[in-house]
Amino acid sequence: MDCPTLIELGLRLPETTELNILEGRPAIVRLFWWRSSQSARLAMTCLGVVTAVATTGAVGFATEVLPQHHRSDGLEAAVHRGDSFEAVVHTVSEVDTFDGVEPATGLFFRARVAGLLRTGCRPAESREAAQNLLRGRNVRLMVRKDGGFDSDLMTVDVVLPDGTDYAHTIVHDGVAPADLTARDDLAVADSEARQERRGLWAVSCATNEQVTASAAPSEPSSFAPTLTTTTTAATTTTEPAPSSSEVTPTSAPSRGGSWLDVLLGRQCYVEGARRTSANGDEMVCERTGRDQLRWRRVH
Amino acid sequence: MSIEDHVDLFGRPADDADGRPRLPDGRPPRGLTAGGWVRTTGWLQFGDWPVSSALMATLLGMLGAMVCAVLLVGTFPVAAGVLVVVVPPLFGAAWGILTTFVKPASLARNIGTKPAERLSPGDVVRLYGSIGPVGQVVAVTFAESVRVAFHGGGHRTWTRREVVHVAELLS
Repeated sequence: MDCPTLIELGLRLPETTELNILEGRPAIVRLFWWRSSQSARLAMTCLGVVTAVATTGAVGFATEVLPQHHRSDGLEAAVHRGDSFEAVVHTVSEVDTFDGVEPATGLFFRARVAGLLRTGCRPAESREAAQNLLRGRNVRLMVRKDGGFDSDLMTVDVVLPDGTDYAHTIVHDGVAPADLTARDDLAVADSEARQERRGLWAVSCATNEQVTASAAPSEPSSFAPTLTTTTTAATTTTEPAPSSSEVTPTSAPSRGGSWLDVLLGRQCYVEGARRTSANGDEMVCERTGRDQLRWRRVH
Repeated sequence: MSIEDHVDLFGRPADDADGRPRLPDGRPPRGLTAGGWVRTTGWLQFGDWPVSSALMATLLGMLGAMVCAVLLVGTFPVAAGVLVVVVPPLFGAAWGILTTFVKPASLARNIGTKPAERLSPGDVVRLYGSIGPVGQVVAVTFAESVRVAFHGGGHRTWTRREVVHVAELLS
């Protein structure tokens, strides 16, 4: 008599295991990848590559076009008060503020020039003058103060490629008043600019804005010029005499030309710019043989 | 008898007695696991030419290195250049080591497809889809669906007309 088989007894044969190459839970992503067609896998891969390249391009574009987004953290960590380094000015945002990059390390930074004050008087011209002097130039910076926690600006002195001091040049030409609390060595240049009515100390600014100065007896050692905007005939501000010299006249000739009009023969900043002087002469900003921009009469 | 009716008596016999996967030269494949299935590498095949996964890893490394280089070139230009040169071969070499020593895997080439009902013992088939691990068929049982047993004791159940990728082991 034959023995009954397991099947005939209603018993199941032992099952072999359903193949699962993973010891743990099924890898859904891996199974999906295996089961997809080759064209689908290629499409997914190409999509990933394109995404990576596009992201990289976007980052590169943002780095190139929007350098102002760079904080100076990297460079600030590397420099300290008294350090000196060369940099290329990238963007000039104000007469006393610019973005730059240190060529050696490629680090971007933002800096503020010590010794300059911003005014509400012709800021566009001041900025333009600053851009003409700084933008794209390889300058030497001397760090005066690192940026604090609440500021990404470091305060610097700037030496232009021709060896002149940027702040001195700006103050001397009357593009911006000096901040003598930061740099009292600019007092003479500032006084001369006021006396000779250069730049913003000249007529045009004074038609609507009068800038004057007088000594502050209580603080003879603290020079803090304050620009005041008014529509009245005269306003006074404080200016202690760093030397015995100056008190800037307050009356303003009511000539209608640009403040650059009175600077015939003096430095200008936009080559080809034209102005009409108070006496009707047309002037043009031209480059001299010494590679300097000066106001000249149009012949 | 009913049981014999469900056995494919005309299927191709296994390559060897124990049904173990073998390379054409008789050696066991590099990716043969203790479970009997074979781990494979590579997921791209042009015609009969399977693209080396080490090459794909190299290209992937190059892509990643370029992305990193773009981010670093402003701050560390030299490091960015070194990265682009060094990382791709490093990726390729690392992948080669991984698939040779750490997780041995075989190179396999898909040689065609066939419905599950036409599988026979000795066939080497992809267990999941068109890439991934392969197993060597040791028995095929037909019922409502096709139950395919593989070397090592595992099995898979497919519908009769489900298309399965048949592969050839190269390493």
